[in-house]
Amino acid sequence: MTITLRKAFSDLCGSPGRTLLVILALAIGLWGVGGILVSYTILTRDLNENFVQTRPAHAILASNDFRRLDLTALRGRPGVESAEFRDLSMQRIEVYPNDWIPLWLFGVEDFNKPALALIYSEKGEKVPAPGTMLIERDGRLVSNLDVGSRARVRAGQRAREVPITGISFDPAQAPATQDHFIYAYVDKQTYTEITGEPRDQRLILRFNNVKTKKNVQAAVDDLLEYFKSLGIHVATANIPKFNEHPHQWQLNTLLFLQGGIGLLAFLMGAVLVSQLMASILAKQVRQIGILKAIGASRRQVLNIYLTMVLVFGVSAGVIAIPLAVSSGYAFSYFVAGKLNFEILTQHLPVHLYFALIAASLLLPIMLSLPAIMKAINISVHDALSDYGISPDAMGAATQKVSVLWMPRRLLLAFRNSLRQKKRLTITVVTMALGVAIFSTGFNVRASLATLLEDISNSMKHDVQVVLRNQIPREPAVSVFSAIKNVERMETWNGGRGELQSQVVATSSGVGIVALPYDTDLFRPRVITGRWLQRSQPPEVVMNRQALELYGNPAIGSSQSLEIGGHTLAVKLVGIVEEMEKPKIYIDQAQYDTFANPNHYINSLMFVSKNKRYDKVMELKSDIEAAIALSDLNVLYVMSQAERVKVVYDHLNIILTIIVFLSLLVLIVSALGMASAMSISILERTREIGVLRAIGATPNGIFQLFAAEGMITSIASILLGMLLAWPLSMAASVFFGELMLGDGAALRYVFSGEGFVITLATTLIFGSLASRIPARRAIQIPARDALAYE
Amino acid sequence: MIELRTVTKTYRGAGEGFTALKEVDLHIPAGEYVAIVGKSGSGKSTLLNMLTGIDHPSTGTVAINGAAVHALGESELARWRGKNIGIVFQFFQLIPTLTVLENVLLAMDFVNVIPKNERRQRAEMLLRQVGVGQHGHKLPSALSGGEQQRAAIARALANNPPILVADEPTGNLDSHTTGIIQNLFKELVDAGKTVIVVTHDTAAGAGFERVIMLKDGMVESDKKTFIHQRGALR
Repeated sequence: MTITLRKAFSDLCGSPGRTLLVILALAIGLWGVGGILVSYTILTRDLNENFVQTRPAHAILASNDFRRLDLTALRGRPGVESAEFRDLSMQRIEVYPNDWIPLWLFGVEDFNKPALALIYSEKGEKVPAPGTMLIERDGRLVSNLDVGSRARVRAGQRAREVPITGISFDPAQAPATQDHFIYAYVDKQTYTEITGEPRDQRLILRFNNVKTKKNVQAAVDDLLEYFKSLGIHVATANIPKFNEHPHQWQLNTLLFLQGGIGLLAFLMGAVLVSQLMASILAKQVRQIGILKAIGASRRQVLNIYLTMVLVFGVSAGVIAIPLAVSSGYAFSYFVAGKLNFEILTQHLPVHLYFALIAASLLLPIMLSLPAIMKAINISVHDALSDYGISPDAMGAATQKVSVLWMPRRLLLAFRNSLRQKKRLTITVVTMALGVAIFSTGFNVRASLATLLEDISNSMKHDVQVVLRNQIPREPAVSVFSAIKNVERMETWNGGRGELQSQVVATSSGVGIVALPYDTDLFRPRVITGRWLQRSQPPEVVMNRQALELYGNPAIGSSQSLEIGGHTLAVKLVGIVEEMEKPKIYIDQAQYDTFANPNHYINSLMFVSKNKRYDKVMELKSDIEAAIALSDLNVLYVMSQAERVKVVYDHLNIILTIIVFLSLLVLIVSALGMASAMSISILERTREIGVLRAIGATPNGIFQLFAAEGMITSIASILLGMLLAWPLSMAASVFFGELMLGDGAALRYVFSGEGFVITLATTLIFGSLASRIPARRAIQIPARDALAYE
Repeated sequence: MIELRTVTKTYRGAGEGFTALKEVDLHIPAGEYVAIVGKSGSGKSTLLNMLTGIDHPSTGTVAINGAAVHALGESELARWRGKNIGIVFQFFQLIPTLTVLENVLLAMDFVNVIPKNERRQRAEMLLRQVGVGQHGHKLPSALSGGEQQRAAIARALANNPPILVADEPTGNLDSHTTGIIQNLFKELVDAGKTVIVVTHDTAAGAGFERVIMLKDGMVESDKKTFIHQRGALR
């Protein structure tokens, strides 16, 4: 090893604590950014890949006339890649004793060679024998069902046991754990036996040469003309988002969070490392002077310090890259588990490893190059005259502190804090960013909690029964007449959720909710316009999701609703904000006049007398018992508490990640403060000796540094809280748009609880970040401190 | 040969500038043993910085063995200094993280005039010559002040420069160690090197051939000593 290399290594070994701190800081930054890069690479590829590999349907058409269709001829049409009948019926399944949830039962044409919408066999039979069924694997997480179970399935008034012979994996479906559904797959004969419904009513298709939803729409329009010529009336034509998983929005949110916070953590780590490097080089200035004095050229000095920095990079890379890969995979598996898809990426792309290695080597060089260049460009004279912090480093700002009344020790702490203004600014800004992100995490959580509360408050019923078909009101109501603890009941057409849209919807599949305009059971947040009144022409209110589908029409504009082949001219009077499927609200009486002359209903809203949770669940149980004795064809029975839980489960993964990543940012910033304090103490070692020499006790010096830490923490908290406000507003807009539709915003909520936690956490971190190095400072003997250069 | 012509050095401060050297003319022939003396603030260290190229004159010229030192850039200066000047500091300024031997080798590595295969042998020889040969493998902190200063002299001689410049080399040493260092310098002068020392101690024992007295940035006196006469007879 050359002497120059040895000098670089000796310098590193000479201050093992600081060397470790730099390597640790670099490794944490690299680990964070690397882990994010790894999981980003995996997740962006794999969710879409899982979905696309199933060859998802481009369009789903429903008709009672498909018996007239020659499927072979349809498959031979130009433009049609594949077509298959895949019937779907909403039934109910008992997941635990007396606990029923919706069942999406698919009648599959060919389990062996499906041409599209593939499902994979995971356990047990691949093809269910007649009379048996497969369930989707995620269903096991919301039930006690598995291979060998005999599931109770209720279709209308009929309940029957269906053996489960296999577990399948259907990555194209929304995860059962979040939607509280079970997906099951049977052959067509069994489908008809269980549901009592005719087969071949739902056609799924894929088209050739389509790249956008618009292309698909054109292909569907063409097909509808063809069907028309065959005398086939298509009731609904549903075109899902093109090649997009139903829960892509969750992944997008996570990836955005990862990307945003990862970038921030990276920047903070970068600031931290560049600070540490600057401090190391500051201490080396005199040595650089000596090296130059004995004949070293700038390039030679540069080589020494670049070697030193490369050692940091290599060490950090050796620690961080394996951690980044393993944690990136772990995080991807966690997300894949939550969203029910498989991690397909077994080997990361080579360029990713190159990027990680390059980052570990180049990053420290780039971050320290300014400090290195500054140090080696200093003249020999200036370098030899350098003794660390010069006495005149304190400028006018520090002098002003003297006008404040405060104990002398605190005054000294204030002045010391201001001595390295650039470093103080970097430390405070970095920590303030950590505080702001942490606080924003809590504020967004509070906003989401408010959203949940809004959802809960908007629906005042306690239990809802949704029927699979519209029936006369009186026989439906009479089934429940004997149930106690019912204060009152309302009957609607349509209602909340995806399933309701299967029963009452426009021809294009937008859910319709026909309810008394003056009902007090539904009070959504109206963000534009007003709620319904009874007037002519009939009024409608849309949620944002529906508004988007209608091309964002203006309030007061006339719209045409296509329902069951009829067209109703309506006036849009308001927009409501809710986390829902696209819905259009209309006065029940006006809806009945137009589309429901027999005043049929499909939704019964129960308000309980006793609102206690156990009493509401008791009511739900009584309702289930009444249904079991009736001939009602029920789609689902759900308490409002359960519905809120469904929404919460959709948000839970995001809430968890927000808090986790925010904490990570705060930790990185605290590490930054600890390093800044360590540097400050190191630079002032000789000064500590002087203080000790003039009578300062170790405890007094410890208190001095602890006070400096507190000053930095308090300044960071104040600035961080100021930054948190606009950041929280921006985050509310972002999450609102993601969850509620374009232009929506979550309500900004200041989280008092979050403020207290942020305050306490920052003070604790700040205190630790200053007290640990301060404790080290007081352990240096006065003699050594005075001799320190 | 060292030639300073009307060298002035002014430092720009917050208020009025401070002139450390005022139109100094100086001629030092090769092989001379020179002391630069004066009170604190007289300009001794500034003059030394001019001689070593550590600092540039505000006006005037510095020529050493034909090189216009005042006109060299930083990198050229580093190369020139490595080959032509050996510097000994008051506080030794050995690299604390390298052994004494490595400190000497480092100077050779930088300048690259001594063949690689001869460097270790030469470094050990120099350390033996200054009397610290047995401490080569030790870190500087393990040596006494006098030993560290002798190691620093060995380092200054690493590339066999014709000129040795020392800034208060005995300022931190006891009288016994001071004597040893002074003898070392005399031996170097006898070997043909030019040795220039900034010092307070111009006693006869120090053996200087010439004493240049500075006051307020100007040469107050420039006298040859009787030793010079003796040297002339040598």
